[in-house]
Amino acid sequence: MISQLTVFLQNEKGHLARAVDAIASAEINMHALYVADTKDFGVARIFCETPEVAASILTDAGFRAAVTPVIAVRIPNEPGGLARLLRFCEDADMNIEYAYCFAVRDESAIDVLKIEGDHCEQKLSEAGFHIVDHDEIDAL
Amino acid sequence: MALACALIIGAGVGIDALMTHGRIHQGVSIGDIDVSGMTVDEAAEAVQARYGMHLAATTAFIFDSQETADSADIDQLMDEMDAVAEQISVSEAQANRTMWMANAQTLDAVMPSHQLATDAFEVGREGGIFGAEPCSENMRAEIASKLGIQYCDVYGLSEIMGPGVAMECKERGGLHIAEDQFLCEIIDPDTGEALPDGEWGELVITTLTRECSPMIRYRTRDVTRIISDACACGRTHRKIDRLRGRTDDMLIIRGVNVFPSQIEQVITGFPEIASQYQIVLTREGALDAVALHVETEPDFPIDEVRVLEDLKRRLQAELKSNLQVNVDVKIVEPKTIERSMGKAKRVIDLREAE
Repeated sequence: MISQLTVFLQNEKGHLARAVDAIASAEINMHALYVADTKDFGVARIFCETPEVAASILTDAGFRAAVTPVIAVRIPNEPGGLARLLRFCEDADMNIEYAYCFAVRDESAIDVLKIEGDHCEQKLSEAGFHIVDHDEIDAL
Repeated sequence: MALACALIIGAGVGIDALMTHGRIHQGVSIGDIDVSGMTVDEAAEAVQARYGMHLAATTAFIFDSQETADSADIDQLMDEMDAVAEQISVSEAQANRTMWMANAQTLDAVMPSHQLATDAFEVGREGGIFGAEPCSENMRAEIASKLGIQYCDVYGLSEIMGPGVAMECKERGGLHIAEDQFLCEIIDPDTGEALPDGEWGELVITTLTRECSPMIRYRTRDVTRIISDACACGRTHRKIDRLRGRTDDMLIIRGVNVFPSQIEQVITGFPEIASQYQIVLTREGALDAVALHVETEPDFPIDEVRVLEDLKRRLQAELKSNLQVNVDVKIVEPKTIERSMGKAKRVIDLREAE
């Protein structure tokens, strides 16, 4: 499991910019950003360095921020890479709450998954999927 | 005159019935004929058929004085007239007459069936009585123009009698108090001191005729003033002005009375929701819209949209069942709800000022 930064935002002009500004001013670099939006509010999921520090900075700045454990899987950056992963999850009866992907420099991609249930990471690892750990994230 | 006495009675005329074009409203009758749904011509025909015959067959009795009329026993008078006629000459008989007979035709009496039918058609089309504080000037104008009627505001409160304590006349500019039934005073809500006519304050009502649970100087919490100027309509009962607000924090949302404390009570049942909240009232078209801004407790999981949406739905359902009003719950970021030093500003009313 790795840590993802989650920020609750009202769906109003300028709110995302203010949150990102707060992270930027602490000199924390972001790798990926994914926003789930509804009519009234949005939830920003951010993949960044030192998410705990970022969360406390945002909380101090008046945001509702939290660190959420998610599973990150490194897959080859080629057609069918994600499809294979998702097919496995389905076959293993894992329900994916949300997912997002981003490509990294070495021709691979990182798929971030929030999955319901326990031992998902272990099952993926046993099936031969490359689970990304903290050190790897720091090296990005 | 022995014309058939026709009463036009209208009952149960609702908004739906007001929309029936060209036909007499439901529940309207002329005499004992139910003319609901008839056109004016149909109703006139029905009245003529039912009462026209009666009129034609009716004999009118004309008396020489009120005294004779008051004591008249027609049969006895007829007998007397016959008896007298047998004994005296025609000229004498004429001179002694105290009563004459005539029929509708000689009197030129006609059944005013068309006029009655037209009057029946007008029932419910002249004006409507609408009691509701939330009705804006625009909404009143819209109702009046769309239905082609005059809008009459009515004031009342359940504690006293419901609608009917005071009502607008065709001159508008205030609602005439039924002063034969109620003694109305205006007081300063802080000191309780009675204020002179014309000054704004809290309306206090005493019921004058109610025998069961009478109300003595009942504080309505409604803010208005008494208008004592003579009204062009001729009524001498004084008027109250349209209500300006409340002396307590009660909100009137789509005609439903809501106290912020009721909303607070519902929120208390949700441990996931922080105690700060704000009620925002706006007007959407002609209707009130209520938004409730709440924050989640710091440890509430914010990562999943599903969980947040579910919390919102549950809170909305609970508010609806408690207040009978639809409330749009908005989960907001922490500290966006103003924390004032003294009494928190819980209600923001952005509805147009009248």
